Amino acid sequence: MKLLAVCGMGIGTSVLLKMNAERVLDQLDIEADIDATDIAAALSPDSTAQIVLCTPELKDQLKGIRAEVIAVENVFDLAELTEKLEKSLL
Amino acid sequence: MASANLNEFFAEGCIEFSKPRSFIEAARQAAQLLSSEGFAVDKYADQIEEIILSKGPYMVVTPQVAIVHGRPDVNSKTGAALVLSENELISGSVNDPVRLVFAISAGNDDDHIEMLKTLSGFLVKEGSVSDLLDCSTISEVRGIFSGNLS
Repeated sequence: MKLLAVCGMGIGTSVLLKMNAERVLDQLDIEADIDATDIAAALSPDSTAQIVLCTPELKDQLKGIRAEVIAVENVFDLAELTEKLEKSLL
Repeated sequence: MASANLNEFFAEGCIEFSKPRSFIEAARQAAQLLSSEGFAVDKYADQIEEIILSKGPYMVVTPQVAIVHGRPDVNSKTGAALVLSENELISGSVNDPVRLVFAISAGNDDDHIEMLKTLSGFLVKEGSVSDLLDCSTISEVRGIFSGNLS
């Protein structure tokens, strides 16, 4: 399972998203590989990610990609992350 | 779990109470603290303003909290700054109003990961944001960062 966490530069918000998503997937006992990246990389046709995590403001900028885009409102609310990841993974 | 003391990443002079009139102004102030202390390039505030204007307020990651940053730069170092705003700021994010604006800087893509881990470990703890909002002095903020007061 391959996931991307996306933000404008690929080094701040996306890294925080990645860290918290890893916390949640660990608890759910789901093995996944999450990369933090910028929008351009997520838009690449070569991307093999099944799920892309971002904050709501970036969702429109990720339109048209193959992966399922999950917008996370509160990056530090592990309950929200758990609910959204469970919904698309289980 | 936080593996390092969050205080280590905030240099002297990088925590400020302020009354910015807008979210952009707060973001600029936080970036400027990093530039003034030699952690980020001079134009860091301009860079961050441009990112917010072009990509939207995606960096407002949790209610009341923004974490702004620009591009890593060989002339920058890993560091963090915090502006605590007395005013409630509107960014356009679902997590408005914003009261805490963190700015971070990095010299490359990797050397700030430890800092983000520590900051993440802090913010994921319930009560961290409200504890910071209750502070009225920099030493209180330092106390919260080091986990001594809560």
